Amino acid sequence: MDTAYVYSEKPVLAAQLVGLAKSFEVKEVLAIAFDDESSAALSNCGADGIIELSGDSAMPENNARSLASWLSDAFAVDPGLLIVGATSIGRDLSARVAGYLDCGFSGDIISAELAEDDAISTTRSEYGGAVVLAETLPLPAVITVPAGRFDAASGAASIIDKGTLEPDTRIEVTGTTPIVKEGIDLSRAKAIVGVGMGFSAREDIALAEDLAAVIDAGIGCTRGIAEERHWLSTEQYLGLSGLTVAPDLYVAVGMSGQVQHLAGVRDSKVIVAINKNEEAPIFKAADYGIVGDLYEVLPALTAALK
Amino acid sequence: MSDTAMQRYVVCYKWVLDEADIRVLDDLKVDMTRAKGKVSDFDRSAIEAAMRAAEAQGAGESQDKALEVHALTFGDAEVTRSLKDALSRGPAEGWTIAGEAAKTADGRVSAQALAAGIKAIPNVSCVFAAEGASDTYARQIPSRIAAILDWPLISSVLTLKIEGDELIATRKLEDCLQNVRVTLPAVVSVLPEDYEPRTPGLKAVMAAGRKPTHELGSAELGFDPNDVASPMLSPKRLNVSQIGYAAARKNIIHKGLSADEAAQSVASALRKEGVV
Ligand SMILES: Cc1cc2nc3c(=O)[nH]c(=O)nc-3n(C[C@H](O)[C@H](O)[C@H](O)COP(=O)(O)OP(=O)(O)OC[C@H]3O[C@@H](n4cnc5c(N)ncnc54)[C@H](O)[C@@H]3O)c2cc1C
Repeated sequence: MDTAYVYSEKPVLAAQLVGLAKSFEVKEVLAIAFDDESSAALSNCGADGIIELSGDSAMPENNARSLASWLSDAFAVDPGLLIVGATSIGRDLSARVAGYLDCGFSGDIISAELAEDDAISTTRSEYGGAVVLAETLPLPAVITVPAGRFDAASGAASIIDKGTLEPDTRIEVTGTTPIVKEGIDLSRAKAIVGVGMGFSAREDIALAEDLAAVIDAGIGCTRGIAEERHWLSTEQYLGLSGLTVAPDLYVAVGMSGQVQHLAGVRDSKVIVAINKNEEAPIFKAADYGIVGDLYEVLPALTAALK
Repeated sequence: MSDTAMQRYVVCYKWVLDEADIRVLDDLKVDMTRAKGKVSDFDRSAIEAAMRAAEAQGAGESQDKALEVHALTFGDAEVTRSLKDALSRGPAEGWTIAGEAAKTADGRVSAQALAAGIKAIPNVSCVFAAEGASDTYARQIPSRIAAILDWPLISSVLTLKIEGDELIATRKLEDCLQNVRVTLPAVVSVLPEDYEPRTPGLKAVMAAGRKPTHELGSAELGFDPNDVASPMLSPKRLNVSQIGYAAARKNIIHKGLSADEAAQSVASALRKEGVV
């Protein structure tokens, strides 16, 4: 492989994809953009060049068909790799490109390295995080990479080629409403206090907020807290079907520690658990644990950290 | 109404091993021998979404069947066991693609098989799927099916409504809700949030056993699901292996101390770690 291509509608993530692609020591890493505004946002992403393919920027994922056809020409000469940021848009686009190219795909990878005979080896989580799958895909292939997994590249990048993608107008966007996020952005928080179903009343979340205020943390939760009890917003639940985070400190309070939740927090540097049941699986996933009633232990921890 | 005039929504589901039954052994080998099968949790929500979309248009209410939801799955010989569960959740008929190829399938193979199944079912106007299955959670099947059929895909669907041949959906992306409109046929992948699956009652379970089911074979698909050498069923991946995940954690657990003592100890450890 001489050329690796990266795409993300999020410029910060695109630079991380370039960082990963550079680790493969290919001849060139090219970033793809679908309009001039996106090209401009990539001007310091560290890529060896930007390819601006004008297409549908309202729904970048609808460029899948024509991007696949553009790539199939490139891959016919040099079977390469398309690396896409694992966002909703990126996952949709990337797997459709893989579908049109009828090639291998590995999603939300943990690691990736080039393998012999023009192939790429990846690892990724399965079964709610209980299992790590290693697979090798012959090139050309498509992979997606979650935000925050690899260090960003930097360095000036400029447009080296322009083209036009045939529009796919079958889906029409009729409106957008921004999701207003309250509180600290959990994906960037240095510390997070996680609220589990062990809290018996909504008001008691104040105990978690007290600790959060002392250690400058955001508040996250398990799925039931957001989706069954509706005590916190669905943007705050962490895990396989929720948000994946990697703070320096995660304090898991009153939660059992099921794999689906842990899948979203296990890259935290240090994990502290508070649970009254010493058999709770969360203790196996914790660096420090306190067996006890959260209503006593949590205020004590807040006081001790003041 | 004749069979060919009836419109069908097809919902794809996967029969998966229950991750709660998986054991990781000390040498990190994965023991799945005790794992039981289930309809993937996210797929139950996809079935629910298809049912609600059809029911909102009167499906299932009269003898005049203009619209039905059918369930489609691809798996090994065991997969037919899933039909009763899937059909108890509402779909009128079940279709299976069962064969050895499922054992070595990657996303490419599963999508090829399902797309061939969709083509074999008459008058499909909309395909429903979950974003991903609860075992692999690779989130590639709906996208690949849409590509193979060359139908538009609406992913990350929070809610949707179908009127005639127009589908209107609200998608949930990381930082916005997006409203979109498409003319059917289309593939949609739904998020579980607003589609809490119904709990099938005894009547629904009994009825499920009597619903028509069809096993698709080479005549309908153009390939034999047992023929692992068929180009349609050859995976685009090599060297697949699974190991258990092991958390490398300190596991310093305080038990039997007073809340204050334990809190003091953890607080000083966190200061030493430099995380507070
Ligand atoms: C396909 C699938 C996807 C999922 N995705 C997610 C996901 O993304 N995120 C997620 O969070 N979940 C997810 N889940 C749900 C997950 O399996 C668990 O059910 C959930 O995480 C459990 O939440 P919990 O730990 O808060 O509650 P519980 O499991 O009910 O645990 C409550 C804990 O609180 C403890 N407790 C009770 N009272 C006290 C007290 N006074 N003091 C101290 N401790 C106390 C109990 O000992 C218990 O361990 C998913 C499930 C499935 C099947």
